[in-house]
Formats: sequence, structure tokens, C-alpha cells
Amino acid sequence: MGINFSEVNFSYQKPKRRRAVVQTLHGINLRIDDKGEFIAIVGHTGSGKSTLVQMMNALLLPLSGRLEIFGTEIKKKTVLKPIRKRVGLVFQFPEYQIFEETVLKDIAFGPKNFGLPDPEGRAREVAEIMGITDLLERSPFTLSGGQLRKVAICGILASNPEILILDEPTVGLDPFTKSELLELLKKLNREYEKSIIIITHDMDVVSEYAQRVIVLKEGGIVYDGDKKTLFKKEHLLEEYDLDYPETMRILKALKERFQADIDINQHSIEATYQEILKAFGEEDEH
Amino acid sequence: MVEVKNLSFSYRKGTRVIDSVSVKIEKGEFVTILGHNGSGKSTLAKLLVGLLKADSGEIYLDGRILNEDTVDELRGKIGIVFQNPDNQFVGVTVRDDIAFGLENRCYPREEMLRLIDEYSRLVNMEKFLEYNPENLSGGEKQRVAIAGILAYNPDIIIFDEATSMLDPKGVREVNEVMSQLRGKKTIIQITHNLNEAIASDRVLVMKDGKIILNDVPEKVFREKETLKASRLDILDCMKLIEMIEATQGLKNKKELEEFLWELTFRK
Ligand SMILES: Nc1ncnc2c1ncn2[C@@H]1O[C@H](COP(=O)(O)OP(=O)(O)OP(=O)(O)O)[C@@H](O)[C@H]1O
Ligand SMILES: Nc1ncnc2c1ncn2[C@@H]1O[C@H](COP(=O)(O)OP(=O)(O)OP(=O)(O)O)[C@@H](O)[C@H]1O
Ligand SMILES: [Mg+2]
Ligand SMILES: [Mg+2]
Repeated sequence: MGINFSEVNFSYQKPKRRRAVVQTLHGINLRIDDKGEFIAIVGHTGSGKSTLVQMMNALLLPLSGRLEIFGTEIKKKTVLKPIRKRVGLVFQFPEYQIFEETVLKDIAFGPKNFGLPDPEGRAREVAEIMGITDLLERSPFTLSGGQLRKVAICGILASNPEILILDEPTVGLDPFTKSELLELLKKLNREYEKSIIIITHDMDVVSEYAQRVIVLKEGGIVYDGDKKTLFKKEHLLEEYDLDYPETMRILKALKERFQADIDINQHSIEATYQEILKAFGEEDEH
Repeated sequence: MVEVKNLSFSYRKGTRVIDSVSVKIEKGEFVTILGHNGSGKSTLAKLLVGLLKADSGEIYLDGRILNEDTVDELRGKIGIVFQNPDNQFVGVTVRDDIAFGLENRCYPREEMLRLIDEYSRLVNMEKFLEYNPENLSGGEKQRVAIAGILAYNPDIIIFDEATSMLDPKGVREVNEVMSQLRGKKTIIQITHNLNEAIASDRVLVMKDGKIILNDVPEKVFREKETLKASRLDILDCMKLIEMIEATQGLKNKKELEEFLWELTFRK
């Protein structure tokens, strides 16, 4: 179950009879479980990340190859509503998914559309969690950038899908809201076994929250695996236009400056601190 | 130079979004604005470029007051990259879009073509000149918006979260461009990325329509409590310094702390 790509190609151009089209995605093979995944998709500007996730809830159809979502093969005539109910997507630009005249109506649209009970009650509940109850009666078109993103995220949360896909969800959020959102996603992942997929350029987010990392480059998947293995290979980061997260940057600098025995592959402030303790703690402390 | 005196603004009666703001930014300064969502950063930016009109207070650009009579003329002095790049685009191709900023400057045709070529290359978008900006990826849109403003070449540039969707390499490249403009242009950068604030000459922190901190980065980031109360945070390096400070029996403790401090704030 979940989402399965097998040799999928995609192009924004209509297939032409003889001339080849530009393939935005090519040779995609990917399996995503419907339970418990926390995946970060990364890769350079224009590498195809947003395109890939739009295929995951069948907004875009393969040019060739096979795409299955919850056991259903995605073709032109596939009925999509049941799939969209189970796979929720927040767009990179929240403006593209917001159209109702009040924030409340907008958040309630998803649950209403999918026939869930008490859509407005659900909307109020998620607005409370995201701290935007004071915006419920406002027109979404008069919000600040960060406020609008929160509304868009609420819209997906309210529909309670099994797989949540968020395209650059932390862009435009203040530091406090950003960590609140990420902690919420972590909780949904740990306690409710939701599969979470985020696209991000923020290596600190990848480092602290993701288990699995998928790297795209020029429309192809060039890495799919756990994050520690990726961050172990400095040359790969360079090749993929990525960076070290802040924790690793700090530890690397310490290691070089003090010639200390440090494993720089740490992914939280606490783990970084523990590594410093190990390297700099007095031996005869006991 | 940008001078703001006692500026106030509300979209709707009764809620002041900009609340008696006064601030002075010198010619050639590089200033970062931080602040929680909805604190008024983009609104202040729109007031500065004359897209919104203040309820009270004054704005001076290079000593000239900004009002209905002067706004058209002063528009050439100050430019903005909007938070949402879609709001930037006027043309149906990337080429038109970069050209738009140049048209008002009355360049000869060859010079225009040269500048379009130069700036599209600067942001690695030279292959996209015939594309419709609507169909670009998020980061590609931001690159084009940045090229547009650089081509327009105003004395004062506001970047409203202009690099928020760029990949790490792209961010480094734009920061490089900004540092080349340092001292020559007045740059106001709005961001939520605390690390981006470090490179600037001065940091302004906004909260509920007011500027509550206004100082060099080294000092602003010492105001831990104020920052936390404003939904901001201190830097990772500083968190580690605090943890190390509170630890007994560490080798090289002083050197460690000093090194981490250096690592954070060395420019
Ligand atoms: N509607 C469209 N029509 C034509 N080309 C498109 C369209 N949308 C995207 N593209 C192109 O497809 C490529 C991949 O775009 P995509 O949005 O998937 O990139 P991305 O990895 O999400 O990039 P970013 O990090 O900048 O958001 C880009 O080069 C883009 O210009
Ligand atoms: N057109 C509008 N009509 C009514 N209220 C508005 C309008 N535009 C913005 N606001 C409100 O004004 C306040 C400040 O908005 P502004 O866009 O300046 O915030 P910001 O600091 O840029 O936030 P963000 O970090 O989310 O971009 C917000 O509470 C917002 O909801
Ligand atoms: Mg994208
Ligand atoms: Mg804003």
C-alpha cells in the first residue's frame, strides 16, 4: 500500500509524435509506506521536487511508467477523490489552494468536501492547535505570508489524511511557529503513525526531523536512504548543492580547531552537546 | 538614507499594524528586520516603497519626504523584492520581466540586451528567458525576481524573504551578491532565518507593529528573553555556549566558548 512509483517519467509538455519532450522527471522508482515514514525531499532549485509530490496525490499524471496510490493505478480516468482524502498536499505557494471568503470556511472546505462529520468543528480544532483562532473570521486574502501558510496547513490537517505531504512548509514561518509545526508533525508521525513527507532546503530541519532523505537532481532520484549515511559523505553534499546542518558545521569546526576526537554526525543540540562533553570532559571526573 | 518618523498605519479601523515606528537607516547600511508572523514587516516595507499610505508620520528617502507629490519620482530610488515572487511579475516572459525594470531607465536597446543577459546569468536563469514566469519552480521565481531588482538598480533595496525558497548554494550566491553591494547600496533584508541576520550591520526586531530592538547583531542576540517573547530565538551556537558555561570540569572551557562565539559572529 502507500505510494509506488515504478519507472515513472513526467513532462509538462504534451507528448509529441516524433520529437522528444523535455522530461521534468525521469526513471522514478520509489516506495512510500502509508505508515510511520518521515521523509525529507531535498535537491537543487528546479530539480523536480514540487512536481514529484504533485504526482503523489495525482494532481499530475505520469507520461509513462506506473504510479500506484493505495493500490489504485493512476490513469486519466481514475476516480481521485478517495485518493486525495488519504493523501493530503500543502502547496509550496499557499495562495494556490486558498479560495474561500473566510479562513474558517477555507479550513473547513477539505473535511466538508470529503464528507467528514462536523467540518467547522474540525476547522476550529486545528486552528486552535496552530494558534490562529483570532484569524478565523478574516478574509484569507488579507493575511500576512506566514499567517496564510498556517491557514493552508490547517486545511490539510483538518481532513486528517493518512499521508501528509508539505511542500516547503516552514518557509515564511517565524522560528517559534516553525518549531511548533515541526513538533506537531513529529507527534502525528510518532503517535498516530502518519507518514509525513516534507520538501525543504533547510538542512537543520532535515537533520533534526527526517528519518529518510530523498535527493533529487535534474529530475532523477540520486539518493534515497537514511540521513546519517548521506551526511557522512561530504562530497555528495557538494555534488547535490546541499549543506551541512548547523550542528555538524559547529562540530566540524571544533574538531579541526582542537584536533579533538569528535563524531560530527549529530543532529540535535542535545546530541551535539553530549559529543562535546565526550571530547572535552575531564577524564578523571569520577 | 531612510528616515522614518513616528509612522502609524492600519488596514482596518482600530488595529494598528504599524504603531508609532521611528527608525533611521544610513546610506550604504545593511539592515535585517526580524519579527513574528504578522508583526508588520511587509507592511512597513510597502509603506517605504510608497505602495501604502501611512495614517500619520513621515518617511524621508535621501532627505526627501515621501508623499503623493514625490512618490513617482522617488520610486526610482527604492525597490523591493516581494515576499511572494508572483506579485513581482508583470511580463509574460522572464525576459520581459527583467526588461521591465530597465525600461523606465531609458537605456539604448543594446545596453538593455546586455543588461538582461548579465543579470539573468548572475542568477543562473539565462536558459529561461523565453519562459513564462508563472510556470517556473519556486526557487526559479525568486531568482528572476532578484535579477529584476538588480537590473532596476535602485539605491535602496528591500528584500522581503527573497531567498526563502532557494537551495543552500543559491542562498550563498545571493549573499555573495549582497556583500558586493555592501556600502554601495542601502539594503533592508526581511527574514526569519536568524543566521542570515548575523551578516548585517544592524538588526531591527519587530513585535506587534513596533520596533522593540535596534542594535548590532552581537547585542540583539544577547536579548534572549525579549527574543523568545517575540517568537524568535537565539542561535544554535549560543545555546551550546550556554550549556557549556553551565558544565563543570570541561577541558579548554574558556577557549571553547570563545571559539564558538567567534564561529557565530565572524563575518
Ligand atoms: N507548469 C509548468 N510548466 C512548465 N514547466 C514547469 C511547470 N512547473 C514547473 N516546471 C519546470 O519543471 C522543473 C521542475 O520544477 P519543480 O517545481 O518541480 O522544481 P522544484 O524542485 O520544486 O524547485 P524549487 O526548489 O525551486 O521549488 C523546473 O525547471 C520548472 O521550470
Ligand atoms: N490587506 C490587509 N488587510 C487587512 N489586514 C492586513 C492586510 N495585510 C496584512 N494585514 C494584517 O496586518 C498584520 C501585519 O501583516 P504583515 O504582512 O505586515 O506581517 P509580516 O510581519 O510581514 O508577517 P509574515 O512574517 O507572516 O510575512 C497582520 O496581522 C496581517 O493579518
Ligand atoms: Mg518546488
Ligand atoms: Mg511578510
